[in-house]
Amino acid sequence: MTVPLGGALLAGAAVTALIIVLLVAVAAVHLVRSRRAERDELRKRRLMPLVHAVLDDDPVDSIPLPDVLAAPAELDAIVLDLLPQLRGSDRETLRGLLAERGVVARAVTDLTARRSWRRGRAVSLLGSAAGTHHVAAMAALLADRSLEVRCAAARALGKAGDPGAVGHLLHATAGERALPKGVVGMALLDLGTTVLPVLRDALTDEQGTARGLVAELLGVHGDPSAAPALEDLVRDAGEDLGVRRSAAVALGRIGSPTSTEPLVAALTNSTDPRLQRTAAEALGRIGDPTATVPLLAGLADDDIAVRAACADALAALGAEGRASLEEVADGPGAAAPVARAALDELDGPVRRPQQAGAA
Amino acid sequence: MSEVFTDIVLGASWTVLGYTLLMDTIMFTLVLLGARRVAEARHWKGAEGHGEIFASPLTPAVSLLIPAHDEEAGILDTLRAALGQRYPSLEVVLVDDGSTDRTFELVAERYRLTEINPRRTASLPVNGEILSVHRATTGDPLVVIRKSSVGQKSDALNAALNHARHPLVCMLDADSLLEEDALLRVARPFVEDPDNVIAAGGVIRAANGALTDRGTVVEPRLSRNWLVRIQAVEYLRSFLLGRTGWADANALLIISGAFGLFRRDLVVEIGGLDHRSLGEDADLVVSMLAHQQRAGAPHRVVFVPEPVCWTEVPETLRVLGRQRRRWSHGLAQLLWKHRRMIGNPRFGAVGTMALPFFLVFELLGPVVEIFGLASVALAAGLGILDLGIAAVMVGLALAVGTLLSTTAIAVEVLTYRRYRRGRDLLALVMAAVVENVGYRQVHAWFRLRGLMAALARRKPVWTAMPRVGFSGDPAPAERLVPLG
Amino acid sequence: MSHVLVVDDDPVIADLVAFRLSRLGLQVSVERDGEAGLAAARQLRPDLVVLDWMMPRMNGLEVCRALREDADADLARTPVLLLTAKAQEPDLERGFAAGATDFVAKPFSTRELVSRVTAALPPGSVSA
Repeated sequence: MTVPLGGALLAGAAVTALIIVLLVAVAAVHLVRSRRAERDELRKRRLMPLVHAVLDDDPVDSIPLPDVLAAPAELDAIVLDLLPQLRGSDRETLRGLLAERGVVARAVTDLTARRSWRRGRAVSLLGSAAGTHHVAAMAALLADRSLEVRCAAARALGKAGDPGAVGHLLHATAGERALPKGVVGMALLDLGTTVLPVLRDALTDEQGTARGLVAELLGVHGDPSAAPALEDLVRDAGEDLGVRRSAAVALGRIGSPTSTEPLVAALTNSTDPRLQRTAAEALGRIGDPTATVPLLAGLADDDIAVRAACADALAALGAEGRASLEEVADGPGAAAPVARAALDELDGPVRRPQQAGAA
Repeated sequence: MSEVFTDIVLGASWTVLGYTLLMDTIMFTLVLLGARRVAEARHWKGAEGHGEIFASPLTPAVSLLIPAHDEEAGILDTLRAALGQRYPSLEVVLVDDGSTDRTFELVAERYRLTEINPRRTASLPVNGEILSVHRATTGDPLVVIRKSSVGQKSDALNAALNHARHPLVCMLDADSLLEEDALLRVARPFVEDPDNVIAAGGVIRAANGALTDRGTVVEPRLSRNWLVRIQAVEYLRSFLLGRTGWADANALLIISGAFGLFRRDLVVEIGGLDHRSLGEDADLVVSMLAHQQRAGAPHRVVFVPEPVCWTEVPETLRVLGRQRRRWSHGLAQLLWKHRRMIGNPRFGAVGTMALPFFLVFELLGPVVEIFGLASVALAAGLGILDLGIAAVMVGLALAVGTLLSTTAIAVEVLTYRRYRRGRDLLALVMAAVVENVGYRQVHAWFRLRGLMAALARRKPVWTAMPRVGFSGDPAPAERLVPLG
Repeated sequence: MSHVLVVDDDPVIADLVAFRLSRLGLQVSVERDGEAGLAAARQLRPDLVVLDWMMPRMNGLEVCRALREDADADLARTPVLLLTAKAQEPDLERGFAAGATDFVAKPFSTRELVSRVTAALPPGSVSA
């Protein structure tokens, strides 16, 4: 019994010692951190006028360069904080300041650092501070071994604003070290409308995930020249359902009346309620009254979400859709409740069932 | 005295001690792993890109579902915080689940509610009767459903799901306080990885004692109530555990019902929340995982390691006992319902690691603990207990337990630093020690009773906790807006 | 001299805006949250309010509505400029419905902000 007892005593003592070390460390860190936070706050406040002067359009007494270069490192933190909130000439000015201070050069060396967070921070910094320089080095990190770094690289490429990064980003959605779709999507959106032609081509060239994403983005941009290709995708019954849904959503956002026909076909012929629902929603957004009849038919669909989407779409079709919806709402049919709910959405007076038992 | 009997009693004591040490060691390893990950994440601070998600048109809209039963004390604050979330597109669906107080009247007055025809998006079964549906006319995206209560939160949530219109749903307890960025942080995984993420949750903390202002936490402080302090340590520890291997191995089970975000289409597909379950939140996650696994569909459950939600915890032993009995009962139901998944490699790490861990250490833990205490007491009574050995062993168990909690507190101080005041930290450390003597044993007893209730197949009842509300009349302390 | 009230919970942004506007020869006051902002508006009766949307205590929309519903007709007519990252279509609708006069979307440019402030103030208020 004495051997385990001795062991336990020893273990107990060791654990207690560990607790004490931990507590002392905690107390020390707490004190140091609180002091440092206060000090940093103070320094930042002192540096603010310098940032203001740099950003001033028409400086009374222009700041001599050495002042900016000699300022402590907190200045970089302020500028990096401020950078994403500003645009235009303000952003350019701040970018110039960071380059002058050597922050950009340091980040470039850090792109190959051993620690993943260093690489990630470096690429994020370059994205917001370096413009279109260093894009190749940043794109190389899209294949980094750490997922977090890959995501940071994608975000940074979006912010850097070089349209040449589109190909890299789209290819990063597939393969062993794939990036999540949403991260790539946001980066592509950040690149703005200059990349639309490349995206349109990608709609036919790329594979599964990438195409669905591209369809979605073209919709967000509301690009009318993409409508024909998107309509083809919605029509193609052999196409992946997710891609067809994304294409339908995009057509709704683009709002071209030529899309009514394929969307009506999808609503009427598809057996996937989710595609039917997106098609109905898109028809509502387009607002073409020729969709009235198929949408009315959709009010009798088996799926409750499809019925609700059709009713909302009818309410959005202007006077004609609204009139037909009112007819249904006042009638005895099973579709009356959804119709009434959709009419309520139009801010009108609340409608009650008119016949007893109608609801 | 029979030799055999003595051996049995002593053997039992040793077994229990071994079990406790093994459990603490496993937990400690998990906490260390978690601490490492938290420290790593700290370096990324500021480079994660929350702003982009806020302004992105790709960020999916969220329906916040809030079931409320007699919540007049805090409902307006909760709604205010929910509607004030820094999030691009959301709606709030409040279910007044048979309140007998002024919950509905307060909301109706504040948001100038008008009755509308219900617009249903799903037809999940709801046992209570839907009385009426209302909409705010103040421009706030708020829908209020009045229904008769059947004493089940799941029923209220299913009613809300039937009326939610956005692709993501967030279930929120009416007594929770959200940080302003809560939704944004927890929705991030859905934005970034829309094809795979099916559920996400964040860190939940004990709100009691915090300085609050109309639904938001201004400064977290620690309550003076020791029961609350111990629970604060418990929450710190358990969410640090959740931050570890569980989530990385895609084996995360508990997305707390106090704040979780789910894909609505999937929740509807599996038939909404289980009416019979007392742990409807955990059950939902396991059911969704099982469903996706069977369908061969991709699935990730993500844990966002940042404090997002502050919840009011019980202040008295009686209420705490009720809560913990319910949790234990719910866990038993969950493990029984999904028993085919336990140890089943088809379900990956959830089957081989998470569920067995819950079975052995969470569900059966109290049985072993109570049994062990009894055997030690018996041994002492029979005079066969070597007091010296017992003292050393108990001391060791106590020390390991304390180390576990101290590590969790250290991680909090080194990373999030939500508690700014030194004396709060000191109180947390004291609570970490006190927890092991008394609380732990009483807690085991509560859990044991929950397990027995489950074994007896007693009909579960969802009893709400009495609320003090968050900004009512100032109670005894020096705080501005105390929680009591 | 025209008086502008800037309400933003981010001190860096609030200070920057205040500095740029003061360089136009405007008198500028700064508040850090919605509630204090509303109180200051009632007390100082500024000629223009620059409001952040997402703020603690009272968000920009609530402040805007409260101003528009104020019993004092002059105060209720004060131009309000929302400075916010929430500037997608539905947000614009909500913002204008709450009574905003104009929007400046974040990320913003100080030049754009200056132009919009100048446009919202009566002619001749800005010296430069």
